Amino acid sequence: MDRYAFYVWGSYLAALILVGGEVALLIKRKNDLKRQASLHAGEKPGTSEFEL
Amino acid sequence: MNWYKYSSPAAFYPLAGKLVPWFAVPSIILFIVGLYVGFFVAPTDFQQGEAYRIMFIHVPAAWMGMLLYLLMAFYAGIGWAFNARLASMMASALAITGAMFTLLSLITGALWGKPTWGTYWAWDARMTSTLILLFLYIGFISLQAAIDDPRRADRAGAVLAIVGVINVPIIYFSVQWWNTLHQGATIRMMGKPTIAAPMLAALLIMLAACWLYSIAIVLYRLRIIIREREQSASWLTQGATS
Repeated sequence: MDRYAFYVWGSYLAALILVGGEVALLIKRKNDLKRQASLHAGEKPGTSEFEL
Repeated sequence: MNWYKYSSPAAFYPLAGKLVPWFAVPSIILFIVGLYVGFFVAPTDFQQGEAYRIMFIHVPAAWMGMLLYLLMAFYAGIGWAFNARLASMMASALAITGAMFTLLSLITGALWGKPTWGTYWAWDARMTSTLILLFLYIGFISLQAAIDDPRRADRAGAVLAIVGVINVPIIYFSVQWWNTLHQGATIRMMGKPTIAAPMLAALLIMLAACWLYSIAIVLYRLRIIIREREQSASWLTQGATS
């Protein structure tokens, strides 16, 4: 594995970063939407009953 | 059972919410099993050594990039032809995951290319057409983001997605049509695969994991898109949020 470790682990690290990034951005988008919904409802952010 | 009722965002929204964990959890399990088989069960390749293990992420990512594009174009076309809102939303939800897999296939392909071919990148037919696929995804996402009216954005995106479908068979057959640096297909739809059984098993398990991941994340994103677009719909304002 020694000679190829950089390429093999680099590939799986890239996969982890891209998949993790996609999930993180999606959670951020959901939280932004939640906050927006709370503000529209005149509530303090984070207290809305709304759940995705 | 009337399946047509699920073509309405109001009916599909709660169903999607229930389905997400049923795809997400098996996807994580299959990723772990696939990586175990790929790294600890599959033997070392006699030509490429350990570098071939990149294949277990590169090949499923490349297939998902192409298949999700076909699905995206299909849903965009349905949304355009039948004025079906949910189908257009599904196309939007598919685009980002498809772009992510295409980018991943390009990165892992480059990391595979360096030790096997001696270069990270060559302008050969397979690589160039895959890069064009990434640009098509980016074009679709950007076009939809640039138009304020969601229905107009859906129609414009559908035209681009459908025209871009021509690129998918070009990617798939590029290794047969042209003399490419990229190797030919290891697994064919008809005919025996040319790799050892544990390698094939790891590859198929990782492919299944990628499929389940895609379904879970697309359904999750679809729920958010429905929320964003249907903010003023009565079924949402009346608290049907389960």
